[in-house]
Amino acid sequence: MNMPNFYQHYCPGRIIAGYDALKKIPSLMDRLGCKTAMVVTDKGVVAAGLIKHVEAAFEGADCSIAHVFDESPPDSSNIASNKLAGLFKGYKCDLFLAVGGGSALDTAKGANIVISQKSDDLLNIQGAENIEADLLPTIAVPTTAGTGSEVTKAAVIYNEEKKVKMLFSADKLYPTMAVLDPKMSATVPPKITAATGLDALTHSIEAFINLQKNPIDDAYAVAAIELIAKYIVRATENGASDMEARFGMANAALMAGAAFSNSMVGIVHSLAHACGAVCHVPHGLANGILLPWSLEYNLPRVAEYIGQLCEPLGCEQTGSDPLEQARLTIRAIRDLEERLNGVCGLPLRLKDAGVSGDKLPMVARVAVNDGCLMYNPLEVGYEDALRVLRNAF
Amino acid sequence: MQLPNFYEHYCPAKIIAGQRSLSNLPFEMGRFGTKRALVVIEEDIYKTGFINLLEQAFTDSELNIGQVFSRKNTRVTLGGAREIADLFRRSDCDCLIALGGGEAMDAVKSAAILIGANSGELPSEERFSMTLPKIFAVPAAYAPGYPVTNLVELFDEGKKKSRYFFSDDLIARLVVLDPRLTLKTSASNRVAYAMDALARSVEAIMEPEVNPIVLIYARAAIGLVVKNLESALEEGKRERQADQALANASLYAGIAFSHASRGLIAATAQGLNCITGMQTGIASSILLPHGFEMFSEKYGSQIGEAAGAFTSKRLSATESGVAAVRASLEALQGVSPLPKRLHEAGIIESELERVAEAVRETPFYCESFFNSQDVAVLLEKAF
Amino acid sequence: MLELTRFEKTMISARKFPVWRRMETKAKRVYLAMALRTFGAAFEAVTASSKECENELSQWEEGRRFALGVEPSGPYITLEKKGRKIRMIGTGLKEPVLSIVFKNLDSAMMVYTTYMGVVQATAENRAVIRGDNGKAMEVIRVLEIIMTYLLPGFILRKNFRTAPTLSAPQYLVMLRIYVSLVPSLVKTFF
Repeated sequence: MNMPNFYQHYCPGRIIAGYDALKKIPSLMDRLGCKTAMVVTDKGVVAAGLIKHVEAAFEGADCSIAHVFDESPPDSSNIASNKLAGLFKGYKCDLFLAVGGGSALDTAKGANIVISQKSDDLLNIQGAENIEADLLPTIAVPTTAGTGSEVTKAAVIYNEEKKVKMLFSADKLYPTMAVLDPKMSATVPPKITAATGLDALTHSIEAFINLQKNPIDDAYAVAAIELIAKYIVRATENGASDMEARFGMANAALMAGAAFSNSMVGIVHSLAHACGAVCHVPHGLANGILLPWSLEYNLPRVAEYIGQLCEPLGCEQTGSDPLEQARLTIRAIRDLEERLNGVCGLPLRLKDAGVSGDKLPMVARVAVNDGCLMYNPLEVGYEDALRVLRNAF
Repeated sequence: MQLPNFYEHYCPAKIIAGQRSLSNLPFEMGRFGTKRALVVIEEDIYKTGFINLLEQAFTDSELNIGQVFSRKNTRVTLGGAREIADLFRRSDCDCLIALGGGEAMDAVKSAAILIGANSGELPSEERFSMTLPKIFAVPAAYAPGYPVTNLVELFDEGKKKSRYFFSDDLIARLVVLDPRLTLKTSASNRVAYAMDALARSVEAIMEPEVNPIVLIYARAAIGLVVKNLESALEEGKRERQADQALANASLYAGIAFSHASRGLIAATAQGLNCITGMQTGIASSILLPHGFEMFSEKYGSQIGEAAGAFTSKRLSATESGVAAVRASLEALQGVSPLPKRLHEAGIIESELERVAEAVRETPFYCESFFNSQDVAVLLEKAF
Repeated sequence: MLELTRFEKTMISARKFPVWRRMETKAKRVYLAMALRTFGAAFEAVTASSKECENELSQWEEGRRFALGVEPSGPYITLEKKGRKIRMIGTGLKEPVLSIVFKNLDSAMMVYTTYMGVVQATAENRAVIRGDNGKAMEVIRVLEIIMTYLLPGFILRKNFRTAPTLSAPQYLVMLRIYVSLVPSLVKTFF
């Protein structure tokens, strides 16, 4: 374990995880001194009946849910955030209870910024990346195991006026608490389970190999990888009943989130963001497809680190040659993805995920402007990005 | 990694470690909305001039240091804490910085409780609910585990006994590990704290139903100690890096231990410290191999899980995991210059009974996990 | 036993005196202000001559204003895209849409004395970006081109992930840049 010259690690949210963790929410609210929660979610979560689990937890409690806001769009937007902020004030709530994937939480974060900055419109506070004012408490209940956004400090909000994504990133944006309950992800369909699981795998692997790596994020990442290797296939195959696998994946996603929130991500994410922006490939899926190819790109610089991941991925460590070891790791990731492909038909190539070949140059051009590249172990130019994309096509 | 059915984890400390990290302190403090700090520093640290580095960092900042309180290296007492709390109010500060080792940290924590209570009196409950002023920590004497525990021990002169308090507000919001500040630690102290970190991590792992985040911190701490202890003792270029690694390990162990704070070794080391004044690090170092043997049978599977942190080889069977850890501990004992037995460290046999009694008073003692019989056996084995 | 170096010890004892502390801070500010102005001049000179910069800048919107500097109280410089090149508007923050600032003087010193590269400084969280991240990436790429022309090879090899190498025609451009840097410097400093 090498010490970096300098690093920071921060994960200030309280983590509450367990098979009936939802039941703890009222007592957690009590500890925060809160009485009235605004549930922030989306239509899919409501349709899956998950809000009923949350409502059941409030039976007989001192605190209550004032309103269920189910209008979080797939890409949370300034309009949704502003509307939520208005409702929050109208219902006199004192806590955001975000139930869903990353976008529900982002919408809640956006509304929280609006309220704490005493504004009506998120666009007025554009560029205020360093949010100084204290925010209202937020409890995050993830329903997919992947983004890790329950322990990250970023919020991506789509600006409907200018048609661009705004990035807010500040220490104050860490959710106050994260509640992991396996039954909240039990209804996720196999393909999405696999894709989001690979998203978490990518978070941990990128955190482990990139420039900001440090001993504690490494340990988080390794733990996450161990859990993913153990549970991802089980959760995909038998997700409705295998609660142990669901719980394992939920924990893995959180650990991966904690790791990459500090160590940041690299080339895989910048390419996946671009694939999402240009060709609307779901983020987790793009990450999964690009991961092995991107590791091959980074191989010359970080073979040693990639090799160290062999063991957590569950394959035997054989030789002492780091390059050989790293190839084994990449092989193990490919094997895992192929197994997932067999179980749920998860695409393994960009062309099967809805990317057309003529779009690749545009994807590459968008990718080189992505902030994640700052942390990649190797420099990535336009040509390099295009090469990786062509390989993965 | 085995997951328990339920767990809770909380550590609000932001770790800032590495070159010139001290210069970053005012910027990071600004994010907490604090303006004026009271610095509590130990006398011998004050003499090293590290306070000058801190003051330099504040020269180009909107924040400032309101007052510096230099205290003698003695146990934290209620009277001493009152003195700091009074100064805090008089100099109109809004946050506390502890610069130094465990005692500076305990002094700051105790003062924070008095400031929060706003009455000059300690709360009657061990676990109280009131808001305390923000605490920031700059460990300088190689005891970086203290800032991240939610516990403080202070001596109440009136009641003539140690009192313990728990609160999440006692955890430092920022922990700055600047490599310049731990360099002056002597080799034996460095080993003592590293072994302390190791003992605490091993015990955290052995705890039943361990929280997986604790396991992560414990593994990271063990990995750093095992790989760096030897080079931290050597002369040469690598030692600065190794030293910084041990300081980080100590911090991680503190985070792990504050969530899994029931341990035979920790309780016994604390008892030894209370009665004989023996440094807990040295006590932990002596007790660790014996404590490990006593519990390895019972908690073999958990140890097997974490054995990867001790060696780079992959281990599957429980048996070999324990053996690997044992071998690794023996190797570390081999390079350590610390005494290997309690009697070598100047403890006399007649003291052991009083130590065993004191162990029961410590907050790390837990009947459901081990009993006074175990304490007696451990003390006897280690003697 | 580990020890502080003699230099570190001297610095620690010198900092006992408030006067010294103020002087040290002042000296760092003065150095950084000069380094930033030189950099501003380099921005003008390099973007006027280098083909790579021209390619990069063609993607920028006209009039993009960005600042480089140090928190919390400067120094800063503000630059602007004008036509095919970048122009320095002046010192201080002049309503930039984007700023890349170091969190403290010491971190800025490490980079502006070339002790540490921009990439490492970012990786070590020593700077904050206020404004659009994508635009910041574009600025950093131009910054890297400028350093390629400005700094000697051994520093580039130390501070870059993939050390850039210059071709023969690029060396000619470099020569032209050095010549044109003189009037730019004169303009910025006087």
